[in-house]
Amino acid sequence: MILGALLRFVRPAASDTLDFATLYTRHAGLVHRRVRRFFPAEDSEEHVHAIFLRALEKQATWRGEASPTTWLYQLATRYCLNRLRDRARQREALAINAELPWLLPAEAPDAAARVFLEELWATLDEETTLMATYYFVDGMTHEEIARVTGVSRRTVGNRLEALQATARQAAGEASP
Amino acid sequence: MSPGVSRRDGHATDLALERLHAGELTAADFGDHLDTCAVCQGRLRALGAFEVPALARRPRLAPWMAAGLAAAAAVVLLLRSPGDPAVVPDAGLRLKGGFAFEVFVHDGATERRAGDGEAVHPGDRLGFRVHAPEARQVLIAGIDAQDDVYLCFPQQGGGASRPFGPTTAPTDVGEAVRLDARLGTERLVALACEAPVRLADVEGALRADATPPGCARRVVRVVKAAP
Repeated sequence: MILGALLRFVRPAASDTLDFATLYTRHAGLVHRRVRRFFPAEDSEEHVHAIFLRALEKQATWRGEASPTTWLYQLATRYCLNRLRDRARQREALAINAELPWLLPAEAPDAAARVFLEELWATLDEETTLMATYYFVDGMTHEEIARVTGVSRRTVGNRLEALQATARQAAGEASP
Repeated sequence: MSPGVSRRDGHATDLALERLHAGELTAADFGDHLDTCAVCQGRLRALGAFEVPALARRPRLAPWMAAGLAAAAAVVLLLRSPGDPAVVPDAGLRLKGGFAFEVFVHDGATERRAGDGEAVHPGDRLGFRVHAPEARQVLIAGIDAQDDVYLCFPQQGGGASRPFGPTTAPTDVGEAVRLDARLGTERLVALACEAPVRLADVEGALRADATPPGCARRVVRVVKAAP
């Protein structure tokens, strides 16, 4: 069965609950593509299943007014990052699928991004890792990160500026 | 572009393109960017061309989970009410003493034997017991609501059946599967055959609700719904 065509999302009338069957049918492609950003194709199926099961568990965090795409994107990203806590796999993860056609153009990471990917990732808390991934890997602005994560733009800015300062310092120290 | 859809390099974010693809945003939210940027046009086409692989395979349970499942199943067997019609009889090779197939559902908190039409949910784990009073080649498969066939037992061996029995009572096959998120009625089919069979050779018969030659067949139907 192919679930490639994504259709518009429909919620039950007069309800803010998730229509899980619709969610799965219409957004399996999104979750697959997000998983492919971090994992090889041969591993993706199991991760997609796990993410939808996680979505079932996390239904209580669904806000009726929210974008289902954003909610699943965030859920999938968080899942993938948690599965990549192993440092050796982190470096590989973002290189293996950087050329996927829906991601192009992939920019070469700058010095601060390299430090984040190679040194800082494993030392950060989950929320900061998430924000840093959106910033360094996905190229999002502070404003978009704030929207996706549901925290204030000021908080995003403060955390990322602190992280960038650390990364720049580490990059400078690493330079000859 | 509207705020929140642009990357720092000026192209649309991956998420914004996903939202456009899903109908949550419109092209107008990107200003004239999508009309003028060949790169983002190509990315959007790639989203549309992406085909989700068929999700027919189910991940295996870790061995400790399977062991726990078997132990819990044994308890449930002792507690079940007599005459519980869990198995749909079917024509085919007759086995002296009767070929039996039982399915157990573990939902993370409880364990129960599946009656025919048992309500199950995505994420539930299914374990299997087979009674083959004469040694046979056994293969267990599932057919989901979209008629996709997936292998349940044996999970090693490339889809080939495995020698099983003779047994004196329903015996756990030692492997289990976890249900995916695809909803609807699924048939769980156990075959006990005189000679080795391969799933690829019998899946047409299983889809057609038929019994392959030289085999006995038992079916348990479950109905998978969202919790």
